[in-house]
Amino acid sequence: MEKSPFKEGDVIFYQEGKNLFIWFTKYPLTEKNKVYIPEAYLIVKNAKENNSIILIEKEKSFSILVVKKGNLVSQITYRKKPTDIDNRIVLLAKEYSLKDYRVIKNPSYPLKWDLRDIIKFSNFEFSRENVLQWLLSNMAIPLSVFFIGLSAYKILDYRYLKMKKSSLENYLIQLKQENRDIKKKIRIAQEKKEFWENFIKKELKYPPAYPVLAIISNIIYKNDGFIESINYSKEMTTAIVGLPKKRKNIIQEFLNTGFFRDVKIVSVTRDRLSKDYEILNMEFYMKEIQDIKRKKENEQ
Amino acid sequence: MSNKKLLVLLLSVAFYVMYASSYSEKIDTLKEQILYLNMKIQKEESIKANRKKILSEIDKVLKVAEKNEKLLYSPDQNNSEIQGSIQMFLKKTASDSMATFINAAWNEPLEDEKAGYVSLPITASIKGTPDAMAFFLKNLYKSEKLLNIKTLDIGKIRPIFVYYSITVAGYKPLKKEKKHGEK
Repeated sequence: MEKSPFKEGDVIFYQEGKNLFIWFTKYPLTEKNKVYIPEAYLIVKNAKENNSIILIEKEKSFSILVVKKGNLVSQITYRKKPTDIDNRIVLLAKEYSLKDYRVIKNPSYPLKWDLRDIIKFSNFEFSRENVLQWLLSNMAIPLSVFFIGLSAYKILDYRYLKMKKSSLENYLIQLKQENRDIKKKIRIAQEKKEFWENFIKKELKYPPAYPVLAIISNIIYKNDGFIESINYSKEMTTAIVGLPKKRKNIIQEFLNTGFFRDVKIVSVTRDRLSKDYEILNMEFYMKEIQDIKRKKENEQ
Repeated sequence: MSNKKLLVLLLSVAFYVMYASSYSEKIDTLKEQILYLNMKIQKEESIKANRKKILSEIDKVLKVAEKNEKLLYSPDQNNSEIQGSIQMFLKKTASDSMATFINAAWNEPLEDEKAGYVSLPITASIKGTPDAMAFFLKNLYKSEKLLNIKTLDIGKIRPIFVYYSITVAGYKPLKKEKKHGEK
């Protein structure tokens, strides 16, 4: 800054290899912009010339840029355009040993820049203090806003849900009142249905006596037999019957009726009254009515 | 300036941690309650929307139940009264079937509180020809009330007469105790 021609100005610099480039500004740079890139740097970058002298004439200034092997080696800025500009160009070319150089007047290249240029002219210094300071100055308010917003959202959400719950409760009460009569009827119907299902399951689980006895006696008589006695009960019926010694497979005949789960001959004894007959002690195990119905439905 | 910002940040964080975060649990509870309420509302709305259909189904069930109930004795009838009428019916049926009613024993009524009915069994002894006994069995089903044959012992068919020992049961529903506040 001591070498700056301006008292209150600022400095922009960057280093490339052994070359240090410094721009002194007339006025202090504002903190508003974090990175300042000199116009001359961008003009040279965009010109892509090997050796050249670039003249930039503006309303209140006139600049001469010297480019050697693609690099900016000098920038001289005057308030007005010098009258002996041609002599100065020749002197600059000699000073910087430029050979085969081009003179370019007021180039109108689009001044493109990229991230590398920003990094080149940035002066970041990372330290814990700086980071904390930066965080405090830049993140404290957004974080505060975030936490206050989050708190407000939670409180408002809670109130909204409470209101919603209350309105749903009221609606449910209204619906329940509207459905009260039909629900009472549903309850009564359900009770009756359950009563009868239970009753049938317990009391009418097996086929009634008349068809069971009719089936047993029909088969016995059909096979030239006779019945001594029958004891019917719901699940099992026992019978003492007389059948000819020469007989078919009578058990299969009983099972084919579909009424019996199983039929057993418990004992066989000689008939004292007829030598051609035997006395059989038989057990008939009943199927449940619903199984008999299901079988009939399947057969249909 | 930084101190002020820091103070604001600390206050806002403290407010969130100490006060606002306690709402998270309350919000979760409310959400669960709302979900449960919505399920209940959905059920009630479905009942309301299908009112006609449900009423018609109820009507069908009640008609069947009413028809079935006629097969049971009245809950207001006394047990002895019912067993007496079953005995009378057995006697009359035996007589109509040309069989002889010998005697009857009233068994202990069986009360099934859970199922809601009482079973009233009677064991009777009847004598008759095989044909008369077959008629007797058939005619039992002509009873206006349900008479369920529990056991049936038939003895000696080779002679002309047959003996029946038959246990039949009639049923009556248990009287419903009115719940508190029920009309």
